[in-house]
Amino acid sequence: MKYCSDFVVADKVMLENNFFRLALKSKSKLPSIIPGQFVQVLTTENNGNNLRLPISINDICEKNNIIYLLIQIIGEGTRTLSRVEIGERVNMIYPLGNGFDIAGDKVLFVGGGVGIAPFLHLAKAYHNNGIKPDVLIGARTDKHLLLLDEFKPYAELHITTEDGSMGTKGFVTAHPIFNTKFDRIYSCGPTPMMKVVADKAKQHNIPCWVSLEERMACGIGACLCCVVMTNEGHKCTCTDGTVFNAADLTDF
Amino acid sequence: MDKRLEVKLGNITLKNPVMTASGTFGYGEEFMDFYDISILGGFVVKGTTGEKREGNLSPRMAETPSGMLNAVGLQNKGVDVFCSQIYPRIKDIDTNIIVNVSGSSIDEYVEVSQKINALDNIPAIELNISCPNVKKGGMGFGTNPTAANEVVSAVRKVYNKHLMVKLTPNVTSIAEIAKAAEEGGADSLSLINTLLGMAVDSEKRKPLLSTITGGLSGAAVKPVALRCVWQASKAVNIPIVGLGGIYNAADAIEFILVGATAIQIGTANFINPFVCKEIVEGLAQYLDRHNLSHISEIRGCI
Repeated sequence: MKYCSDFVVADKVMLENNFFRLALKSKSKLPSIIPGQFVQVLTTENNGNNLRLPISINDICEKNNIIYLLIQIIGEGTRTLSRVEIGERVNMIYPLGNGFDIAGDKVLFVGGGVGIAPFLHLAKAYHNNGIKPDVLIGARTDKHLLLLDEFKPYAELHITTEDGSMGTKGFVTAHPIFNTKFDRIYSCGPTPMMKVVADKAKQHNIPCWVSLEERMACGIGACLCCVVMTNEGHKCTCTDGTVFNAADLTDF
Repeated sequence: MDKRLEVKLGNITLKNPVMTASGTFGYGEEFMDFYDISILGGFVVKGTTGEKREGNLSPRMAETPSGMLNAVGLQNKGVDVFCSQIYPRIKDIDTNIIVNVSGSSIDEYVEVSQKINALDNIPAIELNISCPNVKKGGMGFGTNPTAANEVVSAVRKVYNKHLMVKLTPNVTSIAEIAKAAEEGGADSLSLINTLLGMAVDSEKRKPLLSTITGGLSGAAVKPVALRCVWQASKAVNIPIVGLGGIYNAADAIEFILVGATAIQIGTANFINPFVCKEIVEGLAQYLDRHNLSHISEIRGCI
């Protein structure tokens, strides 16, 4: 079941490097949300005539019916959304997509840039099951690392920065943790990064799932715009994904 | 139900003039979480072809000012899967379910129409001779009056229910194509399909769509759509279904004023999943506000 309703901006935090985080409060009780699912956000830009923005759910607060979104300003839509003020309303369709399975005892999440967003909710879900996942975060510099304090209680954190300002210097994909045996690897971030992560997983015979992003219109499987090629033909990123087993993807 | 909104489209009756446009409403099921879609005058399901089609490669969508380009390219599971798997799931929805029929050849249009003709709860097909996103057929049939007449006549011979023909705006004279479809035996015309367009990324120096060109829809096309509906409605005697950039009840009224009997909502469904329901309500409010006893009183008054 998916819903479409107004949320109130309960909090907005501007972060470094064009990132911001919204806390959006629902009047009604939130439905069950699987980590890795996303929302379609309507912005007020162009009198609300622009397409919605698909944004992954960063975290939720069940008690207060809040959905957190971690957003990077990359275009007009995200820039408009960054201007909403606390107390204003934001309309969303939610929850969308398949999300990640909470399975396996030893798991690694690999996030690059804003791709870390869904892993906070996911890390908490594993933590609730008594499992502390390993979370590898890659960023350009220490200034581009986000939400580290939020992750710490729930995850074993591993950091890489391209300039070496924090953690291991280099690309996330060069981190020695890939020599450790995991039950499964989840990855979200730039496609070239996810491809290398999927390759490394394959070399070590570890099943790997990746969360994809394609340009979407409807977000609910009606328009067939956001397809990705799989072993079974085109599938919708919005409804068949966004999470796919890398082994099923033709381009991976 | 508000009888003031009930309209006849040839031999079929619509509870109200509001339908959804093919390719924007899936098979209706995608919107059932939001409202009871049986309140609609009808809905047009995804373009259906003889065989399964994968469509074009990604990226197949690009947002443009007040609109969007798509190059989906008729991805669908084929008419046999529609008849055996999808039709049984949706056939009891209490509204007019219209199948958009597409193809690359006259034989394919005929084959698909024949198979849909056998489905009791499908009162009409929308013959898509206007898809800009396929290499063979599609818009090729809709830009030439002789070809349009030929394909409509061929389908007319095997299809005995309501035959709606969907026209492309990418022509010099919409009136000429409209007449050709009418002479071929169309019961109604729906227009416009998308306008052929393209979008370019200046930084990457590349087109935004894998196919380079695609079909433009959304608010940006409404003036073109209104002009086409106005011209077509003056040229033929069969009813017109207007579409192209309808986002609210006022937009819908504009199409009725220029001659449309019914309207379809497409791109707006992506932005506001409740838009069709809101337009049904908005039309009734318009009648109240203007002291009209039936929606047809204002049809074609421009």
